[in-house]
Amino acid sequence: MQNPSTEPARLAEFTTFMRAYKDMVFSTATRLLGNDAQAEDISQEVFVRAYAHFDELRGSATSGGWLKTVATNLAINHLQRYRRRWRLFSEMEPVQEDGGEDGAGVEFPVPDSMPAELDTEQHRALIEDALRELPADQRAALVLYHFEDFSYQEIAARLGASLAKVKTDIRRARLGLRPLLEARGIGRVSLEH
Amino acid sequence: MSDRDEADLKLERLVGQALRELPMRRAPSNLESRVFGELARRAAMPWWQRSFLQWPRAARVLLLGVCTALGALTIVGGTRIVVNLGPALGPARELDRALALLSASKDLIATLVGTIPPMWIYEGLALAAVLYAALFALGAAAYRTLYLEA
Repeated sequence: MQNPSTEPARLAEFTTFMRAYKDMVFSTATRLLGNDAQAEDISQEVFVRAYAHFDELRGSATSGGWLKTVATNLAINHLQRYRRRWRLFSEMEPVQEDGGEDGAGVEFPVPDSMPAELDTEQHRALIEDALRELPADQRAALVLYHFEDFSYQEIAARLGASLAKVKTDIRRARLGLRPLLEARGIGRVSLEH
Repeated sequence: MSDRDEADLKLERLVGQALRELPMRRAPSNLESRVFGELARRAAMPWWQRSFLQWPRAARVLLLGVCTALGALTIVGGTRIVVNLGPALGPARELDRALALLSASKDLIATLVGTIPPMWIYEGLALAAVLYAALFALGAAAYRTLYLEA
């Protein structure tokens, strides 16, 4: 690693690079981890690694993708470290493909006093909070599916879980978010059947 | 397609749409200073404390050479010791002693087991099974309480 203090121009360029991508990297990490402090640690490590590869990344059209991939990998590794300890019991959880009663998962109550037409920012904040409150397995699977466009098979492989568990986790997470979407008014009618 | 499948598809589409509409989270303001602090800390580390790939090329080549030489020395030296000292150690005699010791141990264990009342053995096995089940249940309860709800 080169000494940053001897390279002011390179450092200035790297600062600009970091400012362009830091929100994206942090968002990727915090949505997967559901924890800002851990996401900050992951983001720091992503940019430290980016600095080591800065000669290749500067000016590259794929640098954003590289950063996102590294952030995703580091966040998943972080989750796996903790999950591995509990895998035995995790696999004991009942998994139902058809999402029966057990498939309800976490449900976030929508307060009665909440106005029907909350502004967009408030709704987004509620959804972010709900995402953070999901169990780690559900959140990671949901985020990889909807934000990173991973397939169910890819998610199962990356998280080291069975395909059935991934599908159930994603379904439970969606059902957990459903009351918030209905409160937002975008799914009230179409989700009822 | 059943009503449930249709509802699931709608829910998937709505959740996907809602999540994609979320703006990016703003990174903490101190992230840049943390990154530069970490870069400076790592730059200040002596080379031998860094990752092997960041070692000076000469040091990497030297270490690989030393490791290769030590490996070769171990294989060649070990082979020579066995070839030169093998007959003097009398492996057949040692093997006989080891087998005799094993046989005596087996007899001793069989005698000891024979003196234990069978009921004690069954009770011991039952106790071990109960303790194992209790530990398993405790672990599962701890997982559900501490991890799933975290």
